[in-house]
Order: sequence, then C-alpha cells, then structure tokens
Amino acid sequence: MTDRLSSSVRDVLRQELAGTLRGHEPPLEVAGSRLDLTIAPDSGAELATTLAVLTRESVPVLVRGGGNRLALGNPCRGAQVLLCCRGLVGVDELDAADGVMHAAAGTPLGELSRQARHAGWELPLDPPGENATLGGALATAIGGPRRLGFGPTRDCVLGLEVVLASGERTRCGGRVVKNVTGYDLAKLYVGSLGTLGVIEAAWLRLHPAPRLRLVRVAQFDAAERAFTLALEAARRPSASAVAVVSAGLAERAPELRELHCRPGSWMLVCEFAGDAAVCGADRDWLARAGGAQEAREESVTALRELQTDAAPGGLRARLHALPSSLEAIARHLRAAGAELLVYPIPGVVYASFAPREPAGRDHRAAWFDAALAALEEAKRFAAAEFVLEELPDSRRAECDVFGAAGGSLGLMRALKRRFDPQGLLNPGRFVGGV
Amino acid sequence: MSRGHAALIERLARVVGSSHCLSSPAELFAYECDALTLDAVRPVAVVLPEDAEQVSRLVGVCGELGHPFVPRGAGTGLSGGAHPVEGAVVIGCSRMRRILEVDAENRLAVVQPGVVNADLSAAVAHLGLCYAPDPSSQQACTIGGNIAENSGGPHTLKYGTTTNHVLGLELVLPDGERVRLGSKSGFAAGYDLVGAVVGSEGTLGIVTEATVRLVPLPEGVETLLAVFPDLQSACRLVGRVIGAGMIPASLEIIDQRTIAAVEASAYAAGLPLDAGAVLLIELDGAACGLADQVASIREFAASEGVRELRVARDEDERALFWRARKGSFGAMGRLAPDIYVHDAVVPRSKLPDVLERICQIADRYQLQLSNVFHAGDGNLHPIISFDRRSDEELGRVVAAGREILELCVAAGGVLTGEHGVGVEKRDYMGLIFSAADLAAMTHLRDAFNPTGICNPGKLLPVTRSCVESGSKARARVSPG
Repeated sequence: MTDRLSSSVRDVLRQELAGTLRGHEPPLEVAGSRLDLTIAPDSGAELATTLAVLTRESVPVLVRGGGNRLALGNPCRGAQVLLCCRGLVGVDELDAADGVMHAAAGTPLGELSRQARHAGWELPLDPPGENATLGGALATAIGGPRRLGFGPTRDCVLGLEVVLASGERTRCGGRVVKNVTGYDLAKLYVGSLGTLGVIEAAWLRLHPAPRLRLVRVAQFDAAERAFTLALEAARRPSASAVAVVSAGLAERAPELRELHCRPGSWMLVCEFAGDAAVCGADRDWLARAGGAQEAREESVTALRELQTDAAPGGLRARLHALPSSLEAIARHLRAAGAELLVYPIPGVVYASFAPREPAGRDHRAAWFDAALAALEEAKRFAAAEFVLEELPDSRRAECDVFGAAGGSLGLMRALKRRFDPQGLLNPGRFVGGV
Repeated sequence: MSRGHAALIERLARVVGSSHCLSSPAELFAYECDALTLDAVRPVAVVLPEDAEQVSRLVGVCGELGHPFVPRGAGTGLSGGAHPVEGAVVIGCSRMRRILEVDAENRLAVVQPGVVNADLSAAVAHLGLCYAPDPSSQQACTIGGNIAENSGGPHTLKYGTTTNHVLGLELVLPDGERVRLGSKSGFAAGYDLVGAVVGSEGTLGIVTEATVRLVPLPEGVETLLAVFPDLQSACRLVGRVIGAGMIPASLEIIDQRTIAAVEASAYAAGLPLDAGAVLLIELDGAACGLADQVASIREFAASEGVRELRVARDEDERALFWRARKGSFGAMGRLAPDIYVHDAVVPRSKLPDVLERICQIADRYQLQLSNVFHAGDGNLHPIISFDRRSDEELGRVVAAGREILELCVAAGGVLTGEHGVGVEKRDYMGLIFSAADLAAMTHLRDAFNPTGICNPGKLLPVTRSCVESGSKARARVSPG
C-alpha cells in the first residue's frame, strides 16, 4: 500500500469506472487521508462494480455519506479514494399501510422525513447535520434529541442491502417488523462506520406521526433539581425528547438564547409528543413540578446542532453512563470547564472543552490534558464510557478516540478480517484501529 | 460406551461433579431434542454447570477432545436450536438461575442465563417493573434461551423482542474464553456484538450472564374482544388500527376452527361458535390516553362489520379473553394426534390475501388448517392438524408447508418471526437469501466460532441435503 494512487491503477479505475470518477490534484485531505480520486456511483450495481475493482487493485477507500461526520473516529490510514454514496438516491417503496419504507443509502434524511410525513408517518432518525444521508446516519448510529422517543438507530432498521468489500451485493433482514430468519447482521453494520461493508439501501420501520407536540423549557440553578426533574420527565409516557443544557452551551443556539438562560444555570428542554390527552397530562405534570415555560419546536431541533458544537481547536467528548450517575458526571465536568448537553435517557453527555491557551510547540497544552483527565475520572467513578468526537488534529494520532475496546477487540478484528480481508474500507478508523 | 466417551465424561464430571454430569441412556433421553420432537439425537453427555467458570472449562474440554457442544436453556424451542448432533455434549444452563442484581433506579437487572422468564418479572413486580418479552412458554423458558432465539411473544408489537431488552452479556466463546459485550448503559465502543449474539441460536458461544432492561408496568390496560363474521374483516381492522398510528400492546387473531377447539376444551371463554374470527386487542399505557383509542377502535370495528365488541370490565374478564388465546394450542391438540406449526411473517397489509391463499393450499392438500396468530406483527402461525403415523398424510403436510412458506416469501415475508431457524428451517434459507447473503452470515459465525464446534448444524444450510429431515419437523407445544 503506497501513499499515492499509482498512475497504472488510476488508469485502470478510469477505464473500468468511467463516468463516476473525479481526480484531485493536489490530493484532497480528509479525515487523515490524502485522496487522489473521488468515485461516486449512481446505483447499487455501480457501487458493487466499484468495490470489486478497488479490492482487486487493493485500493483503500474512505466511504462518505453526507460528509457530516467524517471526523468521527480515528484517522483513516492511507485511504486513496473517496467513495461518495450520495448518488444512490430515492425511495423505492413507502408502504403507508404498514409504515415501512425502502430507500437508497444516499437519500438525504430530510427527503425521507418529508415523504414519511406526507404518508402520515415519521422517520425515527434525527442525527445532527444538515446534509445527513440515510447511509451515513446508519453507519454512524448517532442519535439526536428525539432518540428518547425514537429508540436507538438500529431499532428502525428492518433490513439492509450491503455491498461487501469484495463487491458482492448482500441482503439481511427484510421488510417485516418481526424477523429472526438468520443472523441479525444489520446490528453489526449499523454503527460500524462503514468498516464492514457499504450500505446500499435499507428497509426502515416508521413511527406513527404524533398528533401533537408540546415543548417546554425550565431553568434551574441547582444541578440536582435539573437532573432529577429531567429523568422524571424522560420517563413520562409522552416524552419524546428531554435534555439538560448548561447555560454557556445554550447561549450558542439562537433558539435557546432567546429564552434567556441565566449564567451558571441549567436549562431543561422537554418535548411531549403523541396523543393529545397524554401530552396534556405530562405538560401539566411538568408545570406543577418545574414551572416550565412554553417554547418552540426549534428549541428541540437546536439541540441536534449543539451535539456537534465545539470551539475551534477544542475537545468534545460523548460519554455514555447510567441515568443515576449523570448529575455527578455533569457537576464534575462542569467544574473542569466543560459546557454540557445531557440526554438523561439513554444516558448520554456531550462535553465540550474550549482551548484555554494556545498549544505550545510540542502541541502539549495543559488544558487538553486536564480535560482528558476529567473525562478519565468520570469514567472511573461513574463507570462511564466515552468517545472523543472532536480534538486537535495534533492529538488524533496519539490516542484511540474510542478508548480501550477491552476483551472484545479480538472478535472485532476477526469480523473485520472476514468481511474486509484486505482492510480496505475506512482503514484504521474504528475501534482499536479496525 | 466407547473408551473415548468414557474419558470425555470423566473429564466433564471433574468440572461439574458427577451428579451434574449425566450419561446414562435414561438421563440423556430428555435431552435428545427440544420442543421440536422429530430428528432426536442422543448426546454423549449432559453437563449442568453452576457458573461461567465451569462453562468455560467444559467448553475447553470439548474443544480439547474434539466434541461439539450444544447450549440448552429449558428446551422449549420450536425449531430444534437445542438438538444435539452425533457425539455432542449438551451444556444445560438450568442451574445458573440466580438474579444477580436488580437496579430499579436505572431499570435493569443482571441475571444468569437459567433464570426463568416469568420469574424475573415476578421478582421485580413489587418495584412496578417487569421484563417485557413474554413468550407463551414464559413459565418455563429461560432468559438464556430467549437470548439465543431472540424470543418474542404476544406483546412484541409494542415492546419489541428480546434484542430490544438486552444491554450487555457475558459470553463464553467456543474456545473457552470469557468476554463481556455491551454494558449496563447499553453502550460499548465498536461493533454491536450484543446485537449480533442475540438471536444467533447458540452458535456463537454460551451466554453466562445477561444485563437486561426492565420496563414499568403500564398504568392502564384495556382488553377488547372483537367478533367478526370472517377472518378477512378481522385482518382489515388490524390494518385500520396500525394505519391510524396506534400501537396496541397486542393484536391477536383466533380463527373459526380454533374457536371451536377452544370452546370444546377447558379453555372455553364463551366465544360464539359461529364467528368467523375473533380479534383480541390489548391497549396499555397512560390511563388518560386509552379511552380515545377504545373509541377509535369501536368506530373502525363497526365500519369493518364487527358483530360484537366486548371490552373487559375487570381483571377476571381480561383473563378470560386471554385464556382463549393462550389455550388455543393446547385445545388444538385435541383435534388430531399431531400438529405442525409454522411461524412465517408477512407484511401486515398482505394478511387477508395471504391467509385466504393459505387456506386454499390446505384445502388442495386436504389438510385441516387453523390459524392463531400475532396479527399486529404479521406473524402467522398456520397450524396443520394431522396424524404422523400416515406417511402419505405426512407427505402432504410437508408439501403444503413448503408451499405456505413460498407464498409468504413471495408476499415479501420471511421464514420465521420468533421460533428461529434451527434445524427445522435451515434448508429453506435459500428461499430468502442468496449464496452471498449466506456467506456473509457465515463470516459472522466463523469470527466467533471458527472451528464450528459450537452448536453445529443450526441456522445455516448444511452442505448435505437435509430437506427431508428438516421439513418433517413438527411441534406439539404452544408457540409464541
């Protein structure tokens, strides 16, 4: 494997994949790779041919959906070609009677949402990113604020079509809502960052469109009150999104800034959705419990973008922990200087640390080490796991952003070897360099 | 007993103690099959470990001496997932039945695999919680077996199947290594190995501990029984309910032949014998939201020609409605010496058409067919009553069964919704999946189980032709 694509391989690709190629001179620098070519197949068949040729020529690729989360994961080691899946578009079937949809991986989520709504259903995916595609949303499996009501990304996937590194087009699952026919490979592909295969299309289970949405916000000076109420709110029957946001972070979203969050306080954002009577009962409960004020739906959608908020050159981590430990984690990280967005269920904390001083010549900055130490401490005292989602480029090469994979790393490597024997799909980007 | 087997049994007994290592023909008889009673094979030994360490050592002995091993829960599976193969050791988890931790604040429990499904719900009921997956065999089946089969039950429409309720696992791999997958928070960096293991039919290792989600008991429950002149009208009401955006906890249909069997049995619930079908609907959740849903269902049911709509007035009446559903398979057993239960799933909107054509297939083969099924999931359970002593009749059952599966697959459906592939349907996998699809599944199995020592011959087609033995598979106990 060389750093640059050889001219002979480039010629072969041009010859065999004509019409879908674009050269880059100088190379495109993305996610740790220097990419000589972009290949953009327009169909599953073209995607399959592309991967077959790339594998035959042993060319490592970086797979791209909407391009929102290319920084997620470890640096991609030596990819030479950018495989862009945005040409795979379209909804082949939307069965309004069954509430299921089949769509190509490059279709923007916005388009899928629009079509689902038109048919009286809701697409249960709301990851951050304006241009998010279905394939990217499934490969990254990062939920948004409505993850509480939608469930995890994997739950909406009934079946997948996946092109393996070999170019073989495969299918798993199906279009029905209950299915144990064969191994549940979709669980493996979802969240695998494109390291086992490239998603071509998916069957999705839609959710009933809610008849009503009510959004309420409240502010608390005491973290204990905010987090206790947040967990209770998240367990109300109609809760579809519940978050606690530190005042400093809330200030960065215009939709939340207009609610005038007091410095140092915590903002609780709650959305109730579904049946009118149940939403009304939950709204009344919150009014009694927390004195919440009415807010616009945009207060909830704004949370999506706060998930990816990071100061330039700063550090952002996503922590996963049990609901009962979130308040302690939040207090601890806030004291360490982080701004926070917390989803009490399923227990996710987004912690952003801004750089407090310019990095020195040896790119060692005290603020970064202190932030990392604070995260490690949270991991220790609350049994939390964390993933570094944003960090200075100079630090990326030094660490595995996923942390230690533990005893299951051997299984993950064995899977990678079998699905992608040459290690050509997003090489090195996943846990433990998989 | 061969000298090799004697050496194996001695080594196994050293791990678990001789009283937990069974090897006499009388002891082994009960382990020759699970609830799929054909194709029984006597194992060499059955071992009953008490903890993960013993499981690991047992697996090590099997590997060292070259004997395949077969994990087993309560043996209630309907697809032969716990069937031994020649020379196999059965590793039963029935002694690993401790609930290790209940964390009500975070709504989770840590259990050993041999905990009986219903026992877990009973143990947390005082906290206002339950374990949601509720297969019909829940009084006997174990959490470990549920994980292997990704078990469902009548309430999966709203609450999902086992895979939606497992956060973490400890697994003994086929080489004896113990690994932890997932976590209490449900997150673990890397591939979703918990998701891959749930539903893998015991072919990737032996689960020795599971962290599972608990859910709150519903605040309110309404149970309705809708009586229809025909099966198609009942199916159409299911479509109307789903299409209106409601997610009932259950939508279960019982057809006319089954009604007759139920009413003639100890499970009689006062169902009208001249009804074409009854639809059992259970709604649960916030009490203030149920009245509107009941009103909508009344309206839909009327427009679909319902003859009668009963709403359970109290817990006793609710139990009576459910008795008819839950007793259906027991009652069916009175009609013929044997029953053959299918488990296909079709898109819900195709139910009326598919059911009509399934009845036509049965008529063409002159077979007695009845239907009791999870209509909300599109999960059919066509039941063929027959007498296995007649080879000619058995041949018709097998041929009709294949046609039914082909029909369901052609309608966009799948082979199994909750019973698993096991040995019963492994050779039908080609009806749905291509060679490349099956090769990808083999990649997963081989990553965990490279030598194939762990529960061989299940889930994936085997190279020799097993169509005959597989398709003769029949069950005699109540499915989901």
